[in-house]
Amino acid sequence: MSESKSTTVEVRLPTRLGYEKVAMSTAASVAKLMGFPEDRVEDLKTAVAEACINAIEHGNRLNEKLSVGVVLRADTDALEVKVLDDGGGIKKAPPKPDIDRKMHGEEDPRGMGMFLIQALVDEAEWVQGSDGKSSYVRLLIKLDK
Amino acid sequence: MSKSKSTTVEVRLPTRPGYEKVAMSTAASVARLMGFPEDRVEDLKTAVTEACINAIEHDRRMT
Amino acid sequence: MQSETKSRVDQLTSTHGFPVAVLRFEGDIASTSKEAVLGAYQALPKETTKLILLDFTGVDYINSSGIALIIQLLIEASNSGQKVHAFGLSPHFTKVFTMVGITKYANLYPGQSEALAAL
Repeated sequence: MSESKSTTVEVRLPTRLGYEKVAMSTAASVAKLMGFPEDRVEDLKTAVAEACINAIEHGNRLNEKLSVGVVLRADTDALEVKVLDDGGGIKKAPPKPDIDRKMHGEEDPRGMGMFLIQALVDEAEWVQGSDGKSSYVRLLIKLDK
Repeated sequence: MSKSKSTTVEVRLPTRPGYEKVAMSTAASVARLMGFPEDRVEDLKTAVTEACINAIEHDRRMT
Repeated sequence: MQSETKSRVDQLTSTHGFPVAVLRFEGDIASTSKEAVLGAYQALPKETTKLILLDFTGVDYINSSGIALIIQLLIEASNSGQKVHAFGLSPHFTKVFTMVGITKYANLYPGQSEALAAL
């Protein structure tokens, strides 16, 4: 029997807030199978939740006719999660959230998703689809951290 | 919001031992979102795990 | 689709004898939690409430939209001269709240007894 090096799990979610929890469960389950410690699994869950919420709210603009794709690839020493939507992607990364500015009303309290994603995983990359759709964010956590 | 519209979640899994746990977690998550009580979620988890183990075993025997 | 956020208030006294309004949350804290978070806070009597403790023990899931609501609560409380602290966050969410900078404006305690002992 061929023991291939990487294993792929694919999930297709409706564009509805709340369904990020399904992606969180799937990602956590794969990460646990791979042997990631509990704190790293929690980090990944939150990052995946934020990525899916961005796809639901911004990428797919809450359009229920569209779906969000989540592709998980378990390699020998890393887990990659791609969250795909049908939006145009992000052209410019938003500025890093500043709690002082938020507390003084100089900045929207929201908009921390991308910052949290980058802070919680080893690699995060936002890719714009070439056709104005099919954009994705790619998250990676490594086993030997 | 029309509640009569059905919502679909699709999952594609490898027939690899251990991955029935992934199916189980995913199914449980959908059931909870739909509001099923915890005992029903447990029933579903067992049913899904068994179905996947069957599929994985069947696939191994065919290879 | 998200677990309804529930909130309730208990009036306690801190170890040093100060009245504390404990705002207990249960369920998820997400974009749909505005009423449970801000509504519950705004219902506290402004004149007599000086110290507020947020109880996250019953919360399993918080996303960035939920954190934004908590920040809004902190802003309103600060503008009203009230002090807010929190307890009951999991180690993971304690880390997330710290990353976001909330610890600059509110102390996070592991549990209720530690929080009351410090106030």
